[in-house]
Amino acid sequence: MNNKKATGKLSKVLKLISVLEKCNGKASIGSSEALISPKAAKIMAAVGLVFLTGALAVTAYFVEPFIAPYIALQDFAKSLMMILLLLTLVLSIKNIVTVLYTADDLPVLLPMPFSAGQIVTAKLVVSLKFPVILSLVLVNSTLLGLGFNAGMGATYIIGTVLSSVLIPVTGLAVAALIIVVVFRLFGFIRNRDVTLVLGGVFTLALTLAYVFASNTLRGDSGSAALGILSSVASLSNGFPNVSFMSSFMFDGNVLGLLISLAVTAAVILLALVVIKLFYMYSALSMQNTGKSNKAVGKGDLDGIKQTSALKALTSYEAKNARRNPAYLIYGFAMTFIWPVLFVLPMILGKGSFFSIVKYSPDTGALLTCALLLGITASCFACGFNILPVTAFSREGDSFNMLRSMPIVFGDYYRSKRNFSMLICSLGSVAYIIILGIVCTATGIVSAANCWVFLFGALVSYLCNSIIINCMLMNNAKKPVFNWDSETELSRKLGWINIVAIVIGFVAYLALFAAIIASSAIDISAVMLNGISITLIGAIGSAAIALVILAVAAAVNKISVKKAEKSLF
Amino acid sequence: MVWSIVYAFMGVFAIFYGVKIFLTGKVSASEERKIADYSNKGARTYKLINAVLSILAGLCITGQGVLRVLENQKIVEDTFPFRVVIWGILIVMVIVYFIIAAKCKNMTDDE
Repeated sequence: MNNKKATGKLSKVLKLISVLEKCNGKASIGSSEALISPKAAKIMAAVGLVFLTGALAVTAYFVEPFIAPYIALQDFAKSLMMILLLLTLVLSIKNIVTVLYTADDLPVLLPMPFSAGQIVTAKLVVSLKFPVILSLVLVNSTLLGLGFNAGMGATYIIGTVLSSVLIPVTGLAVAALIIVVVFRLFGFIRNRDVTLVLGGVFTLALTLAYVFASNTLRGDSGSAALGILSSVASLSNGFPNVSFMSSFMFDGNVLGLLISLAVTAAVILLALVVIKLFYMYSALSMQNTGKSNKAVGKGDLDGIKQTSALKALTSYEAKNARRNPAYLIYGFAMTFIWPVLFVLPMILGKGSFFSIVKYSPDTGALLTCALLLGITASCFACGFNILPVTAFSREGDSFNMLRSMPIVFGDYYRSKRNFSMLICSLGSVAYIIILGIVCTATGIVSAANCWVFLFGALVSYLCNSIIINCMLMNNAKKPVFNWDSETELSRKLGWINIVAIVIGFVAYLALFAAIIASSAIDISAVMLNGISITLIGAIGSAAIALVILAVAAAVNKISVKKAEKSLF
Repeated sequence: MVWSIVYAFMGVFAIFYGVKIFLTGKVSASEERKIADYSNKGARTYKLINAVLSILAGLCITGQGVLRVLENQKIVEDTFPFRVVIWGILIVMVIVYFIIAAKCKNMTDDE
C-alpha cells in the first residue's frame, strides 16, 4: 500500500517535471515530434552519450603522458572537481532564482493536485538535469581515462564515479541554501530591480576578472596555464567534500570518503530544511513587487504628482525593459561592458600602445581621434543593444490595447526614443566624458585640448540619435508581436545592429591607427601639398561632424511620421 | 592551427545541431514560427533537410579542419584540391537546401 502511494507521488513529480520543461520551451528527446520513432530517439541519445563519454575517456587515456610532466593527476582531479562545483554553483544560482522565484508559475501550480514539496522537488530536478549530465560525462570520461593510464586503483574509480554525481548535487544544494536564505532574510532583495542590479554588478565583476586573467595568461606557455590549474586545486582545501574525496581517491583514506559523504548529506539536508521553512513565503510574497509592510493611506493618494503623457510613457517603457532579465542582459549589459571587452585588453595587454607614445598629439590629431572615438562608442553602445530594435515588438499582445488608448503617437514614439537614447548615451557619451576627465587629470591630454572630448561626446550623441531613430523606424516597419518568450525576442539583433557593429569595428581600428600614428611619429610635420596633415584631419573631422549633425536632424524630423505610417 | 580548431568547433556544433533536430524534432524558435503554416509533410521535410544537411555540413567543415592539420604536419603536401572539392560540395548542399526548403512551403498532405 505504501509502495503504491510512493509510486503515485513519484509519477506525479515526473509528470510535473515534464510539464515544467515544456513550459520552459525546452525540446525533449524522443517527444512525439521527433523525426525518428521516440523509442529509437531515446536509445540513440543514450548510445550517443555513452559514445561521447567513451571517446573522451580514450582521448584522456592517450593524452595522459603529455599532461603528467606539468600537473599531478591529484591536482588535475581536484581542479576539475572544483571547476565543476563552481560551475554548478553559478549555473544553479541563476537557474534557482529563475525557476523558484521569477518564473511566476506558483499561482498556476498551487491549485493543481501537487503538494508544495512535489512542486519544489520538480523545480529543483529541472535545474539539476544539465549539471548532472555534464558532470557524469566530463568527470567519468576524463578522470577514468587519465586514471587507467596512470594505473590507479579501485578507490580512485569509486571516488570518481561518486564525485560525478555528488558534485553537481552539492553545488545545487549550496546554491539553493544561499538563495533561499538571502531571499528570506533580505526583504529588499525581493524587489526585482535590486536583484537585477546585483546581477549586473556580478556580471561586470566576472567580466573584469576574465579580462585580467586572460591578460595574465597571454603569450605564456601552456605549462603556465597548467600551473594555474594547480593553484585552482589548492582552492579545494576550502571545500571539504572535494578535498576529503580526493584523499580517499589517492591515499585510500576511508574516513575521507565518509566525511565527504557526510558533508554532502549535511548540505542537502540543510538546504531541504531551509526550503521547507522559507521558500513558499518568500516566493508568494514576490508575486507582488511592491514594498511590504507599507499601508497605502488616503494621504499618499493625494500626493500623486500630475505628470505629462511623455513622462508617464517613458517611465512605463523604462520599467518594462529593466524588470526583465532577458532585456537586462541584451539591452543593458553589453551596452555598458563593451569597453571592458574591447578597450581594456588593448591598454592592459603586454606591449600596449602606451609603450610606444613618444609625441604628445596636437589639436588637429586629437580632433580626428575624438571623432573616431565618438563614432566607435556610439556604434558599439547601440549595436550591442536590442532595446530600440525591439521597441515596438516588446509590447507583444499589449500593442493592440495601447493602440486603442488615447495616446498621441508622437509621445509614444518619443518615450521609446528617449529611453533608448538614455541607455545608449550612458554607454557611450558618459564613457567619453569620463575618459576625457581621466586623460586630462593624468596629463595624457593637455588642459587646453580637453574640449576635444566634448566634441567626441557630441558626435557620439548625434550618432546615437541617427542609429536609434533608424532602428525604431525599422522595428515599426516589421514589428513581431507574436513571440513566445522575451528571451527569444531579445536575442535578435537587427541588420542595423550588425551594420553599426561593423562600422564600429572599422572606426575602432582607425582610432587606434590614428592614436599610434600621432603618438609614435611627429605627425604635425607631415605635409600634404604644403598643408599639415593634422590641419587636413581637423577640417575633415569638423566637416564630418557637420554632416552627422545634418543627418541626425533630418532623421529625427522624419522618423516619427514614418514610424506612425508604418505601424498604423 | 587556430583555424583547424575553429573549423573543428563549427563542425562539431553543426553535427550536434543536426542530431538534436533528429532526436527532438524541433528547429530554432524563429524557424518553428516560419513553418507553423506549413502542412505536416512540408514541416517534416523542412526539419529533415535541416537535420541531414547540418550533419553533412558539419562533417565537411570538420574535414576542412582535418585537412589543415594534415598540411601543417606535412603529412599531406598539398590539400588545395581536396579543399576545393569540399567547398564545392558545401555550395551544392546550400543550393539543394534552398531549393527543397522553398518547395516545403507549397507541399500539401494530400500528395
